[in-house]
Amino acid sequence: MKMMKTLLTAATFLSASAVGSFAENLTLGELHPVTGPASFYGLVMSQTLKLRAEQTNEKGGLDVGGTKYTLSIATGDDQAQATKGVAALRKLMTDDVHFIFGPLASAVAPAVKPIIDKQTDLLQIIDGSIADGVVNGKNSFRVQASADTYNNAVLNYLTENKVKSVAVMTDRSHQGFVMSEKRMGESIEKAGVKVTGLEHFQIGDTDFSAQLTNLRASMPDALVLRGYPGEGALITKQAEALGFKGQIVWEMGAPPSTVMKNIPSAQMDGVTNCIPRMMADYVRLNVPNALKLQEEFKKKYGEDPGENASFSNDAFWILTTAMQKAGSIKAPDVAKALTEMKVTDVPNLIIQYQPYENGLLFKDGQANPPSACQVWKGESWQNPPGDKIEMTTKN
Amino acid sequence: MLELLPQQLVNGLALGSSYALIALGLTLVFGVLQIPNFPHGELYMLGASFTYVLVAYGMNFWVAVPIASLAVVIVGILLDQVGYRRIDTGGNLSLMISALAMSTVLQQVATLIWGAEPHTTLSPLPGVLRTAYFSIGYYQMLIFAATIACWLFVWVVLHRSRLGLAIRAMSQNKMAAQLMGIDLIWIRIATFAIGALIGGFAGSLLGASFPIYPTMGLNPVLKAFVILVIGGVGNLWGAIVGGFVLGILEILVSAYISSQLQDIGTFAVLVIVLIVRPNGLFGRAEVLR
Amino acid sequence: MLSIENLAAGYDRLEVLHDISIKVEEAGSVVVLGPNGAGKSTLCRAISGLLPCRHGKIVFDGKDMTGASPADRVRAGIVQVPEGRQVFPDMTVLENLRLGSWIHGEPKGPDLQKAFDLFPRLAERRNQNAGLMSGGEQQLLALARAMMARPSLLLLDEPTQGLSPVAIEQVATALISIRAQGVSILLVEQNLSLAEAVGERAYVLETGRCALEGPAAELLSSDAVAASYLGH
Repeated sequence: MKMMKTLLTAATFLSASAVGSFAENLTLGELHPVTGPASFYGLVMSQTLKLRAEQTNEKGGLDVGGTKYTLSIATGDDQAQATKGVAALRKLMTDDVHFIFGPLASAVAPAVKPIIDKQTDLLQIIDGSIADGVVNGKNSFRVQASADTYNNAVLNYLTENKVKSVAVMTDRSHQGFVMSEKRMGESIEKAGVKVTGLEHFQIGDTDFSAQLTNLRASMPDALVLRGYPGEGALITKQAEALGFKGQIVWEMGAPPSTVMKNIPSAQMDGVTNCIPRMMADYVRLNVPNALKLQEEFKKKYGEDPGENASFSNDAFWILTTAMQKAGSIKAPDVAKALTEMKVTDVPNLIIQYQPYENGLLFKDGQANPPSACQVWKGESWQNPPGDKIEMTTKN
Repeated sequence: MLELLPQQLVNGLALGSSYALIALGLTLVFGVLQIPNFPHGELYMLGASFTYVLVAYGMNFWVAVPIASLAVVIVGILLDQVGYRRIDTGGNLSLMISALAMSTVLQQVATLIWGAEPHTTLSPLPGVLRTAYFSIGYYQMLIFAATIACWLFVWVVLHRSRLGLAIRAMSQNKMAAQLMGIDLIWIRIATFAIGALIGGFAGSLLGASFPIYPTMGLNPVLKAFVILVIGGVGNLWGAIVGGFVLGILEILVSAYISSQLQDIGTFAVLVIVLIVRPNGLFGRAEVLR
Repeated sequence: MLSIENLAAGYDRLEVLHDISIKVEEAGSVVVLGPNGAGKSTLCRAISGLLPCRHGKIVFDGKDMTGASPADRVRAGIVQVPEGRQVFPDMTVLENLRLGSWIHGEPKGPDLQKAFDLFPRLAERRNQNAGLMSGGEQQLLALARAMMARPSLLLLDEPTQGLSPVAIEQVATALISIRAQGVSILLVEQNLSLAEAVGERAYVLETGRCALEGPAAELLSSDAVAASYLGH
């Protein structure tokens, strides 16, 4: 028996020294669509996490309470589908993963919520979905904006530009937008802007002529499109063909590369997009951490990081910082550290979160990224003249 | 709202002609070969993707359309040989499963090659015709004309050519057609080729108004099956009229009831047609006559 | 001209015909008799190539046809009038005849004229859909359609099935005149009167085997045949 123990110890020792250090392993899980139709969003998020984990390991691992951990990222590919997401989460849990980044898709987030709510030793940081009611502030947190932040960006735009009437088209397959549609309509009316019509479409739809004909007849000053950029581009094209002359306002993450694949850029001129600030925005505003990620990402993967890279980057630093602060890799300890975390505690953040009371990063699990409007000009979104960002984080 | 009706009807015709164009090839293959060719949607997608690639490499759109369509014909023939011919006697369930499998395979291959992100071929014919009552894009008018032209083309092939005679014979009585000395294999290939040609052509044209991505064919092919039920399986004219009926109906439901009910409207019509006229509004098999 | 040697054929796991040997002479006419289920239709399908031969040989005009496709056999001159007529119902009489002459291209005037001479009614109805005609007319059309292929051997699978006595008479007359043109005939029948009118030699099939063989007149008049094999 004693002999056995010695052998085992020796074996452990050998295998540990084989990888060149005495660090322990820590696996962080992610739920992102790395294949399927939403993969062009999800893949960069996964790549960003892996890039950060690798860099941490190159520096000797993550130091938590004196123990060095070698990080690895376990990818759960949810393909932006609820059933696949649940299955992927269960697989991660079986593999003894206690920390989850994601999901991206608003179809997946509500589906995995009941499972996550029940697990006390599981901690989730959502870096994508803006769906309502998926954050509990106990073991699920969100660095992405809530749907209301999206809507408020539009609302600010409408009031600042003295828009008198507006029509709204919402993607009814987008949970986050659908759930907040009524609230948004009410707050627009409250701000003194007339809502002349609410219409719907669905992701994958190709013909919007019926809705647009109706909306155009109600003669709104502005048309707000809430959904994904593929449909956004099509609607913009078809609205013009049907003779709509008002201002078109998008409310969606819309990388220029995606936009330009679906609409001639000249037709986009003047379209405004009001959303939380994302990667490209911070790069344009020369936020140092954004420029750094851009450079490192490009070096490793040969292309620019997508819009959501900023969220995944921040989620990574927020989680690892919380682990270090807690001095533990037990999910409840880390969750507690998150609730007490200040915006200024975390290094390397790209998004300039608006701090809550006492400088806190989260309130009821929700962080507060700032939003802004950009105008399409030439071949990309441009910040309106004089646009500045208030720096709230260490850069 | 009624003053918008002319515009909404034009919207419906434009939408309907895209449906009809896709249904035409499907009804031919289904009517003649009794194959529920779900991958017709993927042939449509390939027509769009090939055209996109050719145009991206600098080819003129109008040159790219026939080349892409012919390339789809080759894929279509391979699809038939690999996916259907060997299990032809295996019964409807096997054909259906194989059709779904082929559909998935083509989607996945397309994803591997071109990725999943949607993109659109720039419209070669921009501009809008504006009248007092309605406006319609020139390109939509072109698609309308192309739909009618495709219908005429298939009609002429079926009713004015020897090949068409054999196709109709095969669809009416396979065994008797064999006993006439007709080599069914060639007629089968020809039928599939025509179906694929129209599917590829539809994708090639419609890719300039709709986004192109690997699963872009799913929805249209489902609609096309609904049109087959409305218009009658194998009924060419039924596919055209059924396409327009469905297009106009969807637009009217969306415009006058609610845009949230567009699809429900479609399937409500489907159920009503199935109850009232189980063989479709025009009955089965114009192909056959 | 046609020689079937030790033929075996069937469907899936079921072998229907075992060890059949039949000969049809140049310009000869042979009837194959037998009760339902004896394998008569299977025999026709095997000869025209719709069913593969599992065993044995089919030789036609000195050429081995055992593995040939149905189309090849039609081109060689073996043309079948299938059981149940099988006209193309949603096509006109003329289109049916055009299909009959498929292997020769579009029908030539004389071929069509010959068909219309044989069956004047078809000329009257040339633009009518075949499916709208009576059973007897459809049978005549099926015959005329087969003749358009200029067969040297005409294979008929129960052409009298479901026909009125008058129509049977018309079919018999037509077959006799076709014989007179020098076309060999292999007739598979249950109807004794047609068999008598057309057949020279006769074979009797029983559960997939050749039970009897001989001159038609002799075989058909024997009470034993009528009683045991044909259920009369």
